[in-house]
Formats: sequence, structure tokens, C-alpha cells
Amino acid sequence: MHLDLQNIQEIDIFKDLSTEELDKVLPIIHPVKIFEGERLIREGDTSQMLYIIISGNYMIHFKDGRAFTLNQKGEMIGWSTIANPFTYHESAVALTDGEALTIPIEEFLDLMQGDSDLGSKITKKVTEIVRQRKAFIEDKIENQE
Amino acid sequence: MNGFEAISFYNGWNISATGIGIVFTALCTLSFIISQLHKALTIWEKREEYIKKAGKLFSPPKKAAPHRKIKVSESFNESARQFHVLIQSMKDPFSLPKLIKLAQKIDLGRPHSTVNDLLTAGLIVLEKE
Repeated sequence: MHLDLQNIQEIDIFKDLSTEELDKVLPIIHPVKIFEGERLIREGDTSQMLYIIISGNYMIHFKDGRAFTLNQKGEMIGWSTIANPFTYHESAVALTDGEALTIPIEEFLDLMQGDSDLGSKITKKVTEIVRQRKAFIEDKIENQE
Repeated sequence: MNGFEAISFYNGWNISATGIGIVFTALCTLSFIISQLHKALTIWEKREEYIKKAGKLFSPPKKAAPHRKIKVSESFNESARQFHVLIQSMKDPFSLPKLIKLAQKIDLGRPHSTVNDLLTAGLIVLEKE
């Protein structure tokens, strides 16, 4: 997959970023091919990578056995990577072959800390995702208790 | 000529009555407007909601989604049958990750892809996020 400013800006999390900010983000984004059955992240592991779906169907699941799927372009896997305690809150496995963008979390956090405007825009988007998945996660926590 | 006679001569009574009438009507109108102001403010605050509702009233009705016809191969049918047997052995509602693990354990071919096909075909329905 060829990466340029235009196709990066089409992705929801980067929509609000200016051209200068996108220029800073672009070098740390790497497109990868994902293969059917490949495990992307494991619940409880230290966060290393954030995934943004380009294509394919991915199962997000929790230790209690509950699961849902993500398959829309721009959806994030491993959003909890940018929040304390920097561990994955879910596991993800590819149900089909597909493509994703990967962002190494250390470089991403450095970038966000170095540019407060960019950091707050990204945090705002992640908060939206957290809010959307909140009910599912809260239900999960209640079940664990 | 002065006093009441002068008032009557120059239509003073009529003019006074008209004046009182105008002021009274204006005050009544004003008090009615003030009494209804809260409704206008509520409408203003919920204007986006009302605009959406009005939009829905005037937009053409949505066509019902066409019924999906899914062509399935023999191998898909066989996989679905095998997964059905596995699901029967699990608690209801079953766990999708556990189903995949179980399928891997008994060496069913390409369990992830099969689960994806079953999801796409609507034969497995996930809990809503």
C-alpha cells in the first residue's frame, strides 16, 4: 500500500490534523499485510504497536471469552496503548487476510508529547472510540467482579 | 366652554376609551408573548432535533434492504456442519475465541476464515458492541 498525506487524512483518527502535523506522523506509520489467523495483540501484554485497519476482518476478544469484530477502514486496534498503564486491554486476531497501518507506540507517544496540539487532537479521537466501546468494556469489568 | 362639556365637544371620551383600549390590548399581547416565551426557547434549544425530524418527514422513504442471497459451496456447508457440532457442545451463548481454539485443537481446516464466513453469512451472530 502506498502511503501519502491524502490517504492518511482519509483515516478518521488523522482527519483533524493539519498538513504539517500529518508530515510529522507519516514517517512513523508503516503499512503491513496481515494474514488469516495472525495474532496482532494479546490482552495484558505491554503495548508496543497501534493498528489501524485498512482491510480485513478482525476479532477483538477478552479473557472472559466475549468478542466482537472490527472490519471498517480506520478502526483502531490497541487504542489502550496510548493510556496508562500502557498494556493491551484486549486481544486481536485476524479472521481474514488484510492490510493495516502500524504505529510504534513509543514513537507515537514521543510525537504526541512533543506537539501538544497534535497530542490533544489524537487524544480527542481516542476518547471518542473509548466512549463508543465504553458500554462493552464496563459490562466486561462488571462481569469480572 | 370648559370641563366635561369641552371634553365631550372635542370627543375626549372616545379618544380616552380608544387609548385605554390600545394600551390594554398591547399589554395583553405582551403578557401572552412572555407567557409563551419558554416554549419558543425550548424549540430554539432543540432546533437541531426538530430540523432532523422535519428532514425525515420530507425525505423519500428508505428502500428496504434487498434480501441477501448467499451462494455457498459444498465445503462451506461441510465446515458449517462441523462448527455446528462444535457449538452444540458449548454453553449458550458460546465464546467465539473458544470456538476457534476448539476448532484448531481438533484440526479443522482454516478455522478463522470459516468463522469469518459464518459471521458474514449471518449464521453466527455476535453480541452487539
